Amino acid sequence: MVAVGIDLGTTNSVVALARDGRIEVVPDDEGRKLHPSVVAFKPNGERAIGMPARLRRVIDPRNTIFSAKRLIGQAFESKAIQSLIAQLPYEVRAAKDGEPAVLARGKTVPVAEISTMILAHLRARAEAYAGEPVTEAVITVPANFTDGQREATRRAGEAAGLRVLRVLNEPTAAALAYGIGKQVHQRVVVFDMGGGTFDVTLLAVRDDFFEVLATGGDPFLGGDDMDKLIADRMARRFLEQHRIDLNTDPRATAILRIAGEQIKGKLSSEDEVTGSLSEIAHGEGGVPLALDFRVTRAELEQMIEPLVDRAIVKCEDVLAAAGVMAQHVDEVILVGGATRVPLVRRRVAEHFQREPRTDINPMEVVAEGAALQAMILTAPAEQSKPAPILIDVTPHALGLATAGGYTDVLIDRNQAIPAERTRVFATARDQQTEVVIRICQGGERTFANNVALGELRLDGIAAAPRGQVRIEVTFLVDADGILQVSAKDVATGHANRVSLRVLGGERA
Amino acid sequence: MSDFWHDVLALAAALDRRSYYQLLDVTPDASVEAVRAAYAQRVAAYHPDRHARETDPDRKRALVSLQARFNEAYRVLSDPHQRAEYDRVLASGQLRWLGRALVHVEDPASPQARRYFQFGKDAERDGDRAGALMNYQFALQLEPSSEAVRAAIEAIGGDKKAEPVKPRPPTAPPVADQRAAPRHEIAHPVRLHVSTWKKLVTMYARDISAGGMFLKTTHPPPLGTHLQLAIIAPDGRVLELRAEVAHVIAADRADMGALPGIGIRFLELDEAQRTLIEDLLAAAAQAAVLAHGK
Repeated sequence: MVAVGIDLGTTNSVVALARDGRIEVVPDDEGRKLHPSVVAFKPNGERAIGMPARLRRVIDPRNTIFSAKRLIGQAFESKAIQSLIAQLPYEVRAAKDGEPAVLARGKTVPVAEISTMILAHLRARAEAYAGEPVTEAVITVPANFTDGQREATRRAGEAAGLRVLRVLNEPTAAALAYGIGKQVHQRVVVFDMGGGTFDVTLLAVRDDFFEVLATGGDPFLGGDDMDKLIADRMARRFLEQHRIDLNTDPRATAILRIAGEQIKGKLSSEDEVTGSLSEIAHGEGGVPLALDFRVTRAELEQMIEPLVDRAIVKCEDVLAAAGVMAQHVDEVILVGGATRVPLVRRRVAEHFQREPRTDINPMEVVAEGAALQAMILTAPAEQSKPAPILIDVTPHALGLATAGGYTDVLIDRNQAIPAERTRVFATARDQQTEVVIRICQGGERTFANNVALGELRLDGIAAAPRGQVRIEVTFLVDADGILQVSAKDVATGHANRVSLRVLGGERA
Repeated sequence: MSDFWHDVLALAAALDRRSYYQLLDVTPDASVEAVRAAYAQRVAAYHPDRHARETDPDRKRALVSLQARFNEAYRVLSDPHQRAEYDRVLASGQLRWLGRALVHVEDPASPQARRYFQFGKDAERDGDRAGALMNYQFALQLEPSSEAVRAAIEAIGGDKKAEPVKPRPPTAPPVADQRAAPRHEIAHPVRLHVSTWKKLVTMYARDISAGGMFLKTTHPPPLGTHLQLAIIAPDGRVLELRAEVAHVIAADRADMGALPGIGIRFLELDEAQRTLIEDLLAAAAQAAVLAHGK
């Protein structure tokens, strides 16, 4: 039996296993270590996952599901999801529980199931490679993932037949991969820009003790946004030349996005890329039209500069939250495909006044760290050498609604986890036997400005005049960053039935 | 059971009786570096990940509680500002820095809005619909988000929009006119024995510094009555305060939701009273320090 670390990415996933104290990244049949996070539903009812699925994005864009990670664990109705759906070539609708589901080949599939399919695929790859069963995993998520997104990811892992040892933050995993066994005493910044999300995390590493000091990021900032800028620019040129809007055609849109991704990649090593996308559209009389392009690195950098600016501002915020100056950072680690873009590296180096570390492949470092954590968590209790310990923090404040529409924050942002906080409530009405407490994510004073997570309903409270009954509500954020709520009547010690209805990411 | 698990379960059960200093086993003057080292030692021994293979749910839960409290202690003691705040509350006997301790899920939330809400209820009960509506609207103006007030207005068929009128209670004279109100010449004496220093500190923080308090009584004196309130401290010293009755909830109205009693407003403190309050708070702080053996 072997435990694995899984970097479940927006665009690509990586799985690594820890065996005999060594970490190995699991390749696919062709030796590729990146497994595209894509599930294709074929006309014959079969499914393709990984690279074969990715190839179907162009020929069958409506039934080829990618970027599930950007949808998981969120409310279909939320603004962020609605604007994202408008950009996707496949159809997304609301499932029964309010979470998004995709429509493929006439069937509705909850987004979490797409993630389960990818995880099951990775598990099967790891089993084939290791030659033994894989039943336990550490799965990574962006540090800024919400409670609902973490919970949904954990459930997806369990549905794939994995015991999820930990839902681990990606930047923390990366730091673990760099720092392990090296006895470093330093402040480390992990700059993690993947396909869809951006995270920045500041850690203090001393001996085998990893302490996250602050974390921040942007859930809608990544390499995909760069690809889209390139694609949009090409579509605009085409519209000017041929009066044809390629974005109305899902096939053309998919081709443009993939071309954008490839152009961005090439411009990391070359100054200029030229090429042609043949038969991207058909003109009058069905004449096939090609799109010829020429993009220079300078043009790309001009386009993406505002995106990089946003990331640098987040870096400043995180350092400010921890009270650390940029020049006092000892190491900067780059993680994620988008950090291969030269402008990103240059701006990060300028901001922290040092060259960032890239000696572990930025695409694989998160999975390696996750596998290390899996090894630590499955190690026998009586170990000769003490294993590293991670102290992570909460990415968002958690609170509840008080009368008057205000928020009472119980758990602050950047608080070390596990974290536990108790509040005592007094009943508001006479003979009240039920209390409903609304729970939110975010530290805004006005409750409506935060993101509602759900509501806590307590019943079976002893009937008494108002204010006489005291109810103790406890928030516990566990090591996965997942919130657990419990409540009890102070006088009787009776623990009330608690149900937390999770809404996942909708505005209060 | 091994000594280790015995200690873990015992410590988890005693968390609420330990100060942050005691939890991390550092002295109150320990440097941030010493606090950090002590914390790292605790983490190395007790962190749940160190015992990830443990299956007993009670033991697992105890480790999580322990680690959560070590995190909390470290967070507060390693930040000079939070540590100063904590030292202040610790001196008054509070072992944990919790911010506010009690949250009232009350609607309306603000005392002013609640007052007018109550006046409205009173008027409604007396059949005075116009008076009720006016008071509800005052309350709504003070707290536009109040569901209870909106519901009350709707129930008597009023318009929910708050009208731009200046709040003025019809049943109690406005503050500025208080002097003109009929006044009882002889101050009503009230004696309050405060048995512990902690209670005294609580009373100060909650009531005296806020300018008023609630006294339970089934025989309330009329509105505007002047009170002579004698607060007797645990060491026998007496703090005399003058107050007046600002609000009355009669015993026959206990069904209206409130306890029978009176809301009193303290009159201006003089220099001698202020000095005595400071002395009493200092004594309370001294007592708390002695109680925690520091």
